[in-house]
Amino acid sequence: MISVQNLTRQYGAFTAVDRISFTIAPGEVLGLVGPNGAGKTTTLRCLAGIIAPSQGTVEIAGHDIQKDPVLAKHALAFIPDEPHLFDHLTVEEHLRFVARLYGVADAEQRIGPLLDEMEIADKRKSLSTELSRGMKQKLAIACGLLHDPAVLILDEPLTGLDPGGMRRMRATIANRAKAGSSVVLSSHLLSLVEELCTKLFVIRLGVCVAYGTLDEIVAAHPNLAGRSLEDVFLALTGSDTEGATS
Amino acid sequence: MIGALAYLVITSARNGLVGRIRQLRNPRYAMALALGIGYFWLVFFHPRSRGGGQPNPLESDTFASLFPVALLVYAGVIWILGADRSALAFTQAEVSMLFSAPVSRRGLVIYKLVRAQSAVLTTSILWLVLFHSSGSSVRRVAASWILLTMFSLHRLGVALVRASQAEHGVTGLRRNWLSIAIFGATAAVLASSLYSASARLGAAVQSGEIGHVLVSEFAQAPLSWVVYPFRVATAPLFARSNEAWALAILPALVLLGLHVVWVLRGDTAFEEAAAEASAAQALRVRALRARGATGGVIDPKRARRTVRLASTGTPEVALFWKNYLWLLRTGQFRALLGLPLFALVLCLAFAGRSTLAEILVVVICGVTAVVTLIFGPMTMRNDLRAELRQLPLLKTMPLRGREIMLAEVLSSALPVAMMQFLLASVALLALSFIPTNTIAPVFRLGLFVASPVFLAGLSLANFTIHNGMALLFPAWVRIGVAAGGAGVEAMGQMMLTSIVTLLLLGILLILPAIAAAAVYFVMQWPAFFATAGAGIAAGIVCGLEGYLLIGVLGGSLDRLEPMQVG
Repeated sequence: MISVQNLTRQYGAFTAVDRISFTIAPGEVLGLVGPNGAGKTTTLRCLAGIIAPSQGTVEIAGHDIQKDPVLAKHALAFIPDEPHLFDHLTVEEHLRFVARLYGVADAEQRIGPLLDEMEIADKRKSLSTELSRGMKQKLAIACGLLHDPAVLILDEPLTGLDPGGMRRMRATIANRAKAGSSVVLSSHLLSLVEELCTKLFVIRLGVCVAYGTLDEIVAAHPNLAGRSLEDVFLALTGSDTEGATS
Repeated sequence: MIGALAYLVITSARNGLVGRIRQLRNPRYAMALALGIGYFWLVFFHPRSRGGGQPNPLESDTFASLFPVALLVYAGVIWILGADRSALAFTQAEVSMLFSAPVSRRGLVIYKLVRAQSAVLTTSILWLVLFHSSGSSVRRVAASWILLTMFSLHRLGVALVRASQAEHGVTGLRRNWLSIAIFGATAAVLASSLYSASARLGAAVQSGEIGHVLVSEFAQAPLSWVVYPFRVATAPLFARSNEAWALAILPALVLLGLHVVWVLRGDTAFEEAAAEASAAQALRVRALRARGATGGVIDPKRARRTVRLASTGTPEVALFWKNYLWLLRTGQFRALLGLPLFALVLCLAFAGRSTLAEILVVVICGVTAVVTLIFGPMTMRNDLRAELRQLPLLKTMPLRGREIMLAEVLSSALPVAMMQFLLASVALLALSFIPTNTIAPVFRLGLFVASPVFLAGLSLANFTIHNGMALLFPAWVRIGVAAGGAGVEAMGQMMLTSIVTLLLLGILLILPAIAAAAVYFVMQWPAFFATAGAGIAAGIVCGLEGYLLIGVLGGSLDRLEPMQVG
């Protein structure tokens, strides 16, 4: 599970994320949404241990990411919107590399099915440079899933995927959550968020403006009852200029 | 339009300067700058360092005579091998914004030249500091600036001529007939003159008088005609009085002006060539950012062969394995083995037949081993320096900073140490075929036994320093991109980095030297054990220092954030 308490991150005098807290239990999917520059990427990077919080704590599967980074990182997978791959490794070698990093003893048995699931089995001997953008994204996701992480952090996971790939990826995320993973999903695709997420965390200017299930959020803002998630999002983040003027 | 380009140049320079000044708010950068200034002041400007002492060899008449010859050789290399296409390259942002904008070719060329000026000026000032000498600083900086700008223009001009030839074939050659004719005439005069002087030059090599003989040969026609433009270009640099400088600067400026005219009248295929070069550079940069190092582009055929990696065990081995595959697939591993193997073949082929050939093998191996100590870390960057741009990826790996650091440093240090060991082994073997050599076999055997440990330790310490510099000062040290990729403009940064790293290596070598001396002189062992023991002791101490440094730097890596790398 993930536990975030009073997470704050400052860049000099600028506060990118200001005292946010949330927890995600196993099997839950949290949708992290907000307009550009709201602090989503900063939050995700703090969760993944890429940057350190200025204040507050992040616990991944019971391990403080600052105090026990290796144990915490063993339990998580971070899949960024732009896949980071090595040009000189083949698809299969990427997975073998990750298997060694995470000590996946049964890597041999996992790699085949995972490549089948991502539909890149026929590319296992190809260099990453020979892959299309969507295939690279699938490979990055496969690398993230290989060690069966307890915590999955996804930043715009559908970027570059074709419609078929998007559908399968949605199923993959749902299956991982069903299997007990805690998932954080940041996306501007509100339909994806609505379909997969059990909870929403709406962030604006680094501050939490809404947190809970969609029903709980609507209950806290009765004027949003019966409106679409897009309308709810725009109203909560102050982007509802059309609504404001009408 | 010129206004827009000027705005781009000025605002980019201003923002870059502001960024660098802001970095000084970081105590680490401020302290490093203060230490650097203090060091250079002590070494170069302190009254005690300036007064008396040895005459500066860089101000000698011999150097002033041979420096233009060296530049002639450099220009010849540019013409024959081709100026690297980075001379034409623009950034991808420049290509997408400027090439589609209504900017003339001349405007683009001028923009490119002006953009390079801040780096050229910085390098000129660094030259003054590093090769300080008597005389006015302003004069020296101006002279260096003219020389470096001229060579920057020359590279650009040659790149344009070659691009024109590639684009238009014979028509391209015809368009550039004058520059090609000048190059051809120069090459012909040079070849025939050197051929006729070959006997004198050969004798001079034997007698060790090659410097003086070269000076004398190039002082006589027709070689003096060939080297004349280079003398004009360098004359202000060696002028010893204001009057001499004033007399020398005017012809140099005329030569600079001719270069400007040459480049501006260049081929109309500039945009195509520049776009192509920019695309190639972007590909290299992408490769560097993805994997780093010297920008090798991987041939998919090479990926058919792989090296097995067990899925369990020490996780940092995965990083080493990944970097080793890069060496294999870019052909760098083969290149590392190439020279030692060539030297070995040469050594065995001439064994007992030619002492001169064996001496040559010893010299080649020795010089290369020493050169790789200095330049190896600049060209072999298959380590953290290459991957710092992938910092977010590194930070999500379940590894401590010191573990990442160790695996990354070893990825470069071990292959280079292996090459140096092979070179040393071949040199020692060649020595055994030289009847007049004065190094006893037991010493040679001792050196052979000690060399793997010593070179591994030395290489670890050396590469740790280079990686540490990149880690602690990512804004100052070039990350990923190959050294020298940007031509003369980048020389200043390279020189500064080399001096600082060599200085640090020198400090790091104090303890190993003490350990080696203690074993050699105090233990009173027989010659073989004393030599081998001293080398092994030095290597172990060197390696320990490197390992301890890696531990410290690992903590810095844990704290480093992507924004600091840029």
